Amino acid sequence: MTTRLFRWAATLSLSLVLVLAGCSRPEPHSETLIAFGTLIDITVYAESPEQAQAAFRMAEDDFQYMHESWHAWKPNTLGRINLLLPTGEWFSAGPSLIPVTAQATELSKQSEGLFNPAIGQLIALWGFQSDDLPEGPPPSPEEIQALLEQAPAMSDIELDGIRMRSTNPAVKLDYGAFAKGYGVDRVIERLREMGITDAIVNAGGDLRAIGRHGDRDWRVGIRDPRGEGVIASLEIAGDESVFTSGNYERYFEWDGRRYHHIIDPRTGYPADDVLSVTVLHDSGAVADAAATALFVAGRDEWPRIAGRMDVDAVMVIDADGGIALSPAMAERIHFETEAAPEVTVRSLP
Amino acid sequence: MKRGDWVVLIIATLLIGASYAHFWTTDTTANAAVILTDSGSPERLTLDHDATRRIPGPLGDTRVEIRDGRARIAESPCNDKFCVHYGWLDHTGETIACLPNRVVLQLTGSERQYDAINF
Repeated sequence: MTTRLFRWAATLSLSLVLVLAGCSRPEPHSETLIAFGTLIDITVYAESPEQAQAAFRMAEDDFQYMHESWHAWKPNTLGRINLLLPTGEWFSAGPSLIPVTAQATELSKQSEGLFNPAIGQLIALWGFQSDDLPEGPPPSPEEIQALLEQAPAMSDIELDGIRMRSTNPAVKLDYGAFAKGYGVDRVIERLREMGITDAIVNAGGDLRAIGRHGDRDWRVGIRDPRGEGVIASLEIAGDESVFTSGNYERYFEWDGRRYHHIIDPRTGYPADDVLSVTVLHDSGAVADAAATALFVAGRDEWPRIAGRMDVDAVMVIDADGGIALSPAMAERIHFETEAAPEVTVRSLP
Repeated sequence: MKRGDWVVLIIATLLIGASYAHFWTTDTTANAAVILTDSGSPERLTLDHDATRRIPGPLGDTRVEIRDGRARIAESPCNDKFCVHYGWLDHTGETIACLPNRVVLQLTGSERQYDAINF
């Protein structure tokens, strides 16, 4: 009896060892690539180096495709749309831009027009539709006023299947504040289709992560908009995006004044009430659009707009260096500065 | 307890301490710099020795400098010079790119303190 039990136990443990040896635990693989006009850093947990390589090549191809088709100042799919919108006639738009336009229109509405990708002409007038930064001078108040009076808005666009038209000839689409978020969402979706459940995709400082980093959460450092180093960190897991809009990203100086690239659609001038807005949300597209909208909203209005956009985790650093957090962000964020900074917690409606 | 028991106990305590230090504390100091370009394979430089490299890109040469265990882009032919103004890199995972000249400088080594930097 004892011998039989012993044999049975030995067989069981041997099979268990063999079964466990057969399991390959996914390993992390990282790659940095230049695509989408920025630096993309991807880490995936893959079953094999081959699967990781396949994921990296897919991401690179997809980002490259989106960049080439949706770029705001190159002859491409978006360029063709922008040529046809002023005619006021219906036309067939490049299919890749239909869902982008539909989602951007909805987010623009929620943001009360503070996120407004229809102001491409204004952005071009400021010189930000160029690979090189503008050298100045800033446009004249008359030129800005002329464009503001035409009030281009996403609500001027009508969609019908893959057909599109604009009822306002001043509409010119620029997805600079949205394409990255939308693109990161698409790449995460493709990674999931490949069977990858744990990954982080960081596109030039804006990112989305799914699953976990092995046996811990993903650790994200938020760079201090006022200088070097990391001001705070977040641990994220499951499926979350972290997007920041900052006035330090693209700007030029003229006559001792700094003009940056986030234009307030209400005034036609760069929004200058805050330095940076960081948004944590499950969708990269929503986080991207919201970061821009809340930046434009400024320190008084951001909680209301965040509420309307269904965004609950926000950090705003204003032009005087004051830090404001939404209650959900206050629960999650860890400050990494030597002395904990003074923060204001602002509740959302 | 016998003398042997004490020896075992002391060794065990030391091992626990060492494994704690090994597994639970993160050393994020980088030990190497990797230079990536569109053309050619990545170049790896150890941070132990001071060095300077001229990396050719579409606009001209980007100068990468290694000094005192840190790395930076010291000179660049690009317009914005964002890469030069960033300054020194010393943590694993820290990355700076000169997109116009297609040169990326990234630090590697021990475990990364952050999986991503948001900005």
